[in-house]
Amino acid sequence: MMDRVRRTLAFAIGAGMVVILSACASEAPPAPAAPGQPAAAPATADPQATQASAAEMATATRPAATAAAATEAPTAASQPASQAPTATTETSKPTVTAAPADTTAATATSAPTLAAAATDTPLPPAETPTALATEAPSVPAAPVGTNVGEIPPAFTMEGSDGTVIALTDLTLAGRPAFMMYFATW
Amino acid sequence: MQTLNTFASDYDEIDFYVVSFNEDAATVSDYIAEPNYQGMIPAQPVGNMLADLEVTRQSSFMSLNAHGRILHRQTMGNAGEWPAYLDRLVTDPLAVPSQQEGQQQKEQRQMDMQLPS
Repeated sequence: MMDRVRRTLAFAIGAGMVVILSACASEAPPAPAAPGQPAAAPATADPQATQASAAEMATATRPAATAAAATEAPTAASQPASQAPTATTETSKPTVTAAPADTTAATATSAPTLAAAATDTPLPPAETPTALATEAPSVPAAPVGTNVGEIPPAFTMEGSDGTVIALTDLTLAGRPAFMMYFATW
Repeated sequence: MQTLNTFASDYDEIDFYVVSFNEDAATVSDYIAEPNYQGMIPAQPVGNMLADLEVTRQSSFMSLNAHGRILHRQTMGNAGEWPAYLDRLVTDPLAVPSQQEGQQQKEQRQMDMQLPS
């Protein structure tokens, strides 16, 4: 009897530590890793006590985990994605309560991560036009017209072998051109 | 002053087109088959090329730099002046006319357009 009371007290102390450490998880994320395991160890000694205390721990740790996730949620959006898994592994220490706490924390932390990813996703397409815009000025822009210094309007002519020659062909060839207009009358 | 006898060898970097007003390209090819005109490419306009480029007189000419920009054009062409413009394109294929050149040629063009053909 005394032994059972002692075990219950030991488990209660352990569960209390888990609740306290879970509440402190938002301030010191790595701290609960070591003390969380002693709390699970005595629980496995008595299966009945484990189930009874598991329910208490579940109700006790859920708000704490939710609060921790809520406090981390705004920061997770601005932090690198590599820190999000750390928060998930922290809440998975207790054996029984880990499942509901994890899902809550995981969904809470994954939402900002997805939000951050959603904001990051448009970046690559945005860089492509920028790169093109920086390359474009290599060819000086000139107005279209027929005066000196201007780009002539698009034209097409045909060679004696039937080859069609357009202004773009001349430009792409990168060769200067000289056109003499000729008549036999 | 250079003559057209040296055109083929000295201006290989330039595509020289002879665009006919009234003859097809094959006929123009016969005209320029003489040794003095080797290297020229006979062509005939397609569509509204002449109207779009505002070419209204024969023997007028136009030079384009390697970016397709008009470097020089004359409404009343003088073949004796070709080498000067060809030399400029050989020296600098990306040559761009100065504002002063552009204004002078524009005024000259307007004066030439008023003369009877």
